[in-house]
Amino acid sequence: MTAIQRIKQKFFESQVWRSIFRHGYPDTRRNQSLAVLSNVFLHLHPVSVRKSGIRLSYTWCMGGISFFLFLVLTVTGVMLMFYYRPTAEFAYNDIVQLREDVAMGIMRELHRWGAHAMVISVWLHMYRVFLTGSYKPPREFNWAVGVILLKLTLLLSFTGYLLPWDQLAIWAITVGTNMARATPGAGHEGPFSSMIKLGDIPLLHSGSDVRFALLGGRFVAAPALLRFYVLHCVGFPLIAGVLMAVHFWRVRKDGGVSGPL
Amino acid sequence: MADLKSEIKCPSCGESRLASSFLTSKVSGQKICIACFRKEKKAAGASGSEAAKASPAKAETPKAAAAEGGEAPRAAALEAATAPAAAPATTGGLAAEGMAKCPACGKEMDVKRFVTSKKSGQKVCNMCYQAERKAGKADQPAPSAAAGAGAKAKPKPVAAAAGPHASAAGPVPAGAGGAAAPAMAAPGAARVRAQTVRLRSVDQPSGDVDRRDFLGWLALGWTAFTAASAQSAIALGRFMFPNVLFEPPSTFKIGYPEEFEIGKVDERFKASNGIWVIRSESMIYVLSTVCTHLGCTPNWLETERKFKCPCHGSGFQKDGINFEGPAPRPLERFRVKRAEDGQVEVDTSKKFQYELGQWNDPESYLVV
Repeated sequence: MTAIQRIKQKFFESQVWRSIFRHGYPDTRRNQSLAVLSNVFLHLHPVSVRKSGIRLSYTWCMGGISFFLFLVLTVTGVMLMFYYRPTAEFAYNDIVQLREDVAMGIMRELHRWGAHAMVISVWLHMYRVFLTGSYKPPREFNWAVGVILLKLTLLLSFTGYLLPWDQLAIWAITVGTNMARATPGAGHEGPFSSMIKLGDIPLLHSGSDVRFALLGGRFVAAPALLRFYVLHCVGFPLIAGVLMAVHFWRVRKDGGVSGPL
Repeated sequence: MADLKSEIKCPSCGESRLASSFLTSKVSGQKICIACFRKEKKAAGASGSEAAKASPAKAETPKAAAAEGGEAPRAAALEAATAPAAAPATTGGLAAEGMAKCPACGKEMDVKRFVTSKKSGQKVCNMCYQAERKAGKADQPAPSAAAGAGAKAKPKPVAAAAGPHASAAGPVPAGAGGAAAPAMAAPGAARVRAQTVRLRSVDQPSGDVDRRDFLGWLALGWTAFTAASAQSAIALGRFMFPNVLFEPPSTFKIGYPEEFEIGKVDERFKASNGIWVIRSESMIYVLSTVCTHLGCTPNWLETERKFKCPCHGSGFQKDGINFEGPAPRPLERFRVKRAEDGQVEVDTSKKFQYELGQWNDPESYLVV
């Protein structure tokens, strides 16, 4: 036995190594399964994948790309939080600073373009699932989870849109949140809003409807910026993360990535 | 003894307790309450008394002992198990294993599922027993012979279980009976225990909290939890509605009518309050600066005599009527009136829409 082999053996049989990896080198079917099953980062993943499941022409890998982009956006987003302050006073200048002065400020462009790409890839993923009929039983529930994830992606994109706090952002969010005025039974200009009143006093007005709660005021101002920041950085990513775990787990439970019939 | 659910006095401590919690004392042989029984057992365990050591099965489930009908039959059964050759075959004609016919319904069934009927004293199958028990409950609210059985040595399941070594019907071959006895003793006793525990739970469930009470508390707990959760959800929802706004007030004074030039669009309050003030020959009216298309703010183009929205190109005339672009309706007007000090007062909480005929409302303009 050479010295290298001895060192190798010592290393792989050390308590440190064996406490982390509770299986041998994945060169047998059993160890290959254990490599996935006993790994916290892979445990949502199926142990084996059908050959068609990794055929690019079938899946386009759009789900995987969406998840990859989500990870990219999480990392770059957290990096941006070190420089960005979500107040009307600082927000715009911090974005300019990121662009002009901060080393590796390209992080902000990565975040922006990654966000655009994720919206596109999530849509394409949905399109592929629709075309291949993968929404059919037993995958109906996972389709529903996927639809919620699509909405969350759009909401993440929408809330992130306001954060640069420039004219484009403010007016885009003004226009976008005006839709909330027409929410049935919850927006003050929506259906049934005139029915919600106490005697002559309307209970649903511009200072008490769902848009007011969303913006923290009657129009897009500093409170709206802070609210969108919290939703963008904490609220929606948290919900999306939980639902993604469910989504991936259900892919496995529903029989893996759907294949050609 | 009386009803299981009635309260009786414990002869040891003198407290009144539920009859179902009474057990036969190993010291006095009297029926005493479970608290005293436990105390007694603890004392026995501390002194390392021989009795406790000799019969581990006894200490195992003291609660059910009363329901079991006292110690006597159990002790007998244990003796039978350890010394099978001498034990009487009090099996009621049943083997410990195998199939037997139920005298009540006539079905063939595993003997392990047989229980002593309280009516006939015969061994009947579990299903018949349950039916009998149900019927008894419906007839008389408090039928319970088991707790008071006391000294009455009924042929209990333990006795039935002790059978294998004594009766020829058992799994042990008859010829091997005597010789194999010491070797078989231990597993035999273990089987007796396992079987008695199982049968007892069918026979007479007894305890400090019964199923009905437990479910009642469970329901109460969940109801309280749900109510508390709903309340916090409402509180969290309310949290999202701020009480103090850093926005301009909806009612404000903009100056005296003479300060507004006839035929001009006054843009002084556009940024601060979101209004244009326009004075014509005969009146003053106040237009909202919110485009009726998607809510952007149009600009007043003096040279072209029109409001033009930079977002999507909607155009409005000086009176607010839309004439180009995607805007579906005219700009809105706000309530305007003369304040007591003669100034013009605007109220942006009240709006007037042309398409609803509200511009004829005298509150929507101020005659000067």
